Amino acid sequence: MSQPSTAGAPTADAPQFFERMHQSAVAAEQAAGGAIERFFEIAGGSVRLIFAGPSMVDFACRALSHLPCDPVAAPDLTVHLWDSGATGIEVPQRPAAFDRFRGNGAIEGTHADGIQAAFVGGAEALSVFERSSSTGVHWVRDAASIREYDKPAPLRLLLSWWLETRGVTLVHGAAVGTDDGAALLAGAAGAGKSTTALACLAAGLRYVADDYCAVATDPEPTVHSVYCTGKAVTANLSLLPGLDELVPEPDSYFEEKSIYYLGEHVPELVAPRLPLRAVLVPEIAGGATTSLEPASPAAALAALAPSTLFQLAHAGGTAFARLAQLVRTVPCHRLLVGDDPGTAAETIRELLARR
Amino acid sequence: MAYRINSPSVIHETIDDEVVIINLDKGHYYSLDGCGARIWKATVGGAPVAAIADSFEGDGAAILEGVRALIAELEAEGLIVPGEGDGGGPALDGPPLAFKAVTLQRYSDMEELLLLDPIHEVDEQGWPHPDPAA
Repeated sequence: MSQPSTAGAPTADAPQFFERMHQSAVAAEQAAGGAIERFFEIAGGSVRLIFAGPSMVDFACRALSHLPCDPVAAPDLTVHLWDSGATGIEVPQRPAAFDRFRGNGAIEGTHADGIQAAFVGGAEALSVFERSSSTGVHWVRDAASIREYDKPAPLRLLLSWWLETRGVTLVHGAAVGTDDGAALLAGAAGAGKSTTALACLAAGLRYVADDYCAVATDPEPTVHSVYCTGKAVTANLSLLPGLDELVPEPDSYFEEKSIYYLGEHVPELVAPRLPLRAVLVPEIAGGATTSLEPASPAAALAALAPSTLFQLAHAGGTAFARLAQLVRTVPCHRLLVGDDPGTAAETIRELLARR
Repeated sequence: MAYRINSPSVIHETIDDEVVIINLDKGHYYSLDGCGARIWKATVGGAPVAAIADSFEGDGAAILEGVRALIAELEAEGLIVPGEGDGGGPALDGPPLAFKAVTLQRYSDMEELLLLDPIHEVDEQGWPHPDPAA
């Protein structure tokens, strides 16, 4: 092991580095005996995933299984994926200028060159995106070592960078709704988003997301499902009595969480997109029922924006302005969740029916 | 002295009479309302302290002290920096506002997501890789 330089981070290396990543991905596809392609429609855009062999197909595709589409010749986003463990193709040498990494993985100095890059240390995963060609490359050291933690929301940095080029923000939030539209549940980790979203699904609402979803404000507020996954604290599954009628057993576990791939079990209940009618800030309040109190748009923005912008590497003012536009446009409330989170479903259903 | 927003590290949005401010470098975010929101808006617009203080009603000395204290806190947090120009700035709009004590609400619960560190242990390609022997 060696200690790298801590010199400044000029950005001129970023475009060349993207090219080397792209070339390595193509080499990995050849080493694997050919590419495997899968196509999805995410937030109205076509996405082609190109795999170097089968090692990462399940990782990337399972959470997107509710959004398949037919192959297209010119997709809106192309992502190449490979891992060194299965293909033997190493990741390119790190440019010396890439010497500062943020906690969310963002590599300083890449954004200004039309390239966005992030290295997520815990996952040993490197994502690089070239905006001009709308092409991404995603490498992991060893697909066999991908953590269960990373599987419910794969490729989220690449998807967030691409979506932002289309005027859509990948938001850290849950969303549930009815045919009348959806409510976005905003708040930091632990605020009750996932439990409330799964409780609402079990109580008959349509499910969009429990952790990350894509939000557009033009031409009208809309929330798009990206991942069909849901997570619940295993010890709290007793709070979700209807869930086991829909999905008898969790599909996987990570630490204290149970993970569900809902698109495999109840695809008819996972809505690809819904008009966005309200922003709710959940709080675990206890009591017999769930109720609403007005929240100021700024309070809703404070619940929604920081965790979104801080988690998604290289996010900035444009996404912040879009989220501000959202809370200016739709009503905002505090959602005071009762002891039975299933009571939130009726409260949200009544709210959405008011329009 | 006049100030400007410490952009691009700092972004902000004002909705009604509330401001949400995010420091993208530090991972901190802030909120201001009422008098604080007015002081923020005027300060980042380049207005001088005296003009900002004059836009409030109440004890002149206490107002001036309160305005100066908030601006100093905003500067200490890295949200504003001394700006160029003559400090004339835009006119303060709206009728005079009764001055009340101002609190800058500061949240740092997510700062670890934005921590900026040089990398440490690396593999042969130079990418972060925990030392298996550690």
